[in-house]
Amino acid sequence: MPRRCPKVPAEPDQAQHLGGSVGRAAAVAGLSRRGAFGCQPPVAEAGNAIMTHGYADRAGWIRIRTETKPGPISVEIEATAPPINLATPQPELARIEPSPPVAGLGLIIIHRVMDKTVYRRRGRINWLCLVKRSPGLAGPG
Amino acid sequence: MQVYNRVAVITVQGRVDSASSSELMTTIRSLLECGQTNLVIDLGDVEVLSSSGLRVLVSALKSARSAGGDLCLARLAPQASDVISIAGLEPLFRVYPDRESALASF
Repeated sequence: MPRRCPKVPAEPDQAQHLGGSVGRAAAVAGLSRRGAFGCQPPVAEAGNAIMTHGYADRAGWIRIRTETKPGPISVEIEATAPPINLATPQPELARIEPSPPVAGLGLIIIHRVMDKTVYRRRGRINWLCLVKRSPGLAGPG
Repeated sequence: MQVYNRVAVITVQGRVDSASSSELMTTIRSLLECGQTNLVIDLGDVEVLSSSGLRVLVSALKSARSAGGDLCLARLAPQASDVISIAGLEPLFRVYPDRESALASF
């Protein structure tokens, strides 16, 4: 059943709360504790990226909608920030040493955890959808 | 922060995110500038480690090695361990279960 969180101010300290709300929704929907926890970092990173790089110092809001079913969990993130597309595919970290990446780790986390990332610009609203197929996440954990 | 012989141990607590990571970077940078290039980062009491925190750790590792030293992690809290693994950075860091073994590695 979809669960929509109210709009929250686009402030960096809200990013972890967004991730936490998704984790709680996933746990209520029956995902294992590990599976529910695993959804938190990418959502928090997406929220933080939108707030930091989308809004920058502008005021605004961000809202998430979580839908859980037996199987996939999808998280829709909306924000009125200037266009910011977090669905851009990230290169694989084929070789980390000797020069590890410093920037872009948030996007790497999003794309490594979530199975599908979709971005749309709907009028003045950024719409980002993160999907995690969870064949291995359901059940006790 | 504590110094044992040639190694400085930095104990990180709470959240390491975009709001607090700059403070950690400042502390590390100060140590490196003072010639303290061997560092142990104790993450046992970290509640949240975000990509901003990871960025500080990676930058600090590169800086320490450039200065002829090294950096390792000790007592990874579960969330920190998961995030480092998710980001694919496990091969990058030496990780130890406790401070003593981390210090002994230098």
